[in-house]
Amino acid sequence: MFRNGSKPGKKTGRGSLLRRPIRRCWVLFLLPTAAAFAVGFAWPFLQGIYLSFCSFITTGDARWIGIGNYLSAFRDRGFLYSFRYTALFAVVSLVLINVLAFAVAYVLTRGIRGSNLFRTVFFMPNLIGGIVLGYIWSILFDGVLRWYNTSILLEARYGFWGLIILVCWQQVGYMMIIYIAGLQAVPEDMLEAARIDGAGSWQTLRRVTIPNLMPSITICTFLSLTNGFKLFDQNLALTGGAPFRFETAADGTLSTIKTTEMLALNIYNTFYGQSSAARGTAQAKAVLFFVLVASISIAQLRATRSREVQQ
Amino acid sequence: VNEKKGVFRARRRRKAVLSTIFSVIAILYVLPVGVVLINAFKSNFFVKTKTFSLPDAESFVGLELY
Repeated sequence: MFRNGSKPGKKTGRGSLLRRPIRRCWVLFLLPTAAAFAVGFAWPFLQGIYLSFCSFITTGDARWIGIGNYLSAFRDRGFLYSFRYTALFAVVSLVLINVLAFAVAYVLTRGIRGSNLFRTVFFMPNLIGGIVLGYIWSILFDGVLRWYNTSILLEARYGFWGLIILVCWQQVGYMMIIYIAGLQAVPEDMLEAARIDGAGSWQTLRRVTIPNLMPSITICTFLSLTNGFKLFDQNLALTGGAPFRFETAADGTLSTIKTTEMLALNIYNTFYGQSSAARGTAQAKAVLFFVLVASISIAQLRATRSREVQQ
Repeated sequence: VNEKKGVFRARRRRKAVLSTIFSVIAILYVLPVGVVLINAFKSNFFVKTKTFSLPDAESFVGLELY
């Protein structure tokens, strides 16, 4: 017998009365979301994988050709170059964005005067779209590089560091907000205990603050890593892949290497820029791109989650 | 008491220094937006040739670009 005298299984609370139809008809309640997921994500995703094994111009005339698109993707020297270039860019931007964002967040949670204004200023570039950002910075870089009789479009290393500066400028503010939230959530009694135990500020940072900040670090590294790999608009607007380099392969074929072209831009150029016969190759590249980003993100999430501290 | 006052004073000084450094960084941070705003009143040719200079009689086009 229950405490209130009701029979077992017959709950009398208002909440449970409301919840009962939901439990009984859960399929009905799940259906709209499941349908939206299937139509908006699962079906296009599966169709995309299917198309990567086809030769097509429109989705209606797809013809199965097996792994031919994947083979031509791997034979494309420009794609392999973009692969390496994007990986390097993602690693450098990941480190710089997170170090800078953490440093800014750390200082802005010290209670300095004007910290709210500084937060606004650092977050502001995040409100500007990628294409506009690219054009703004191309004007600035060319304005500076003109003094040295060069341009951002003439040197690959200028393009690389230009993109790095651009994404840092854009994303540091966003990551800073996440780090500030994490720093404010570090229990004050832990910090006080560390101080009483005689820990210096560096020791407190290393042994107390950072371990408690691991959830924020997980989110920020995940976001900056995936953003680094997926970068498209800024790359298109700032350099468009320039400067170009021409290479001759062992079999005598001439290939164009766009020295600042990242993976997403390479896929876009393959799909729209070349002959329509290359659309299947672009689709195969997109699937490879997805596999790469997903597997790296999962590995990174596992690595950083294992270091999180339970409070 | 004097030691405590000294610690507080040092802390306040450190915060003032950080505030000053961050003010400079913040100004540099918004500079690109400022340059774009200034360039919005210059003709295309001068945007490319005199990117960082203020509009003068030669380069100023008023609200024409708007």
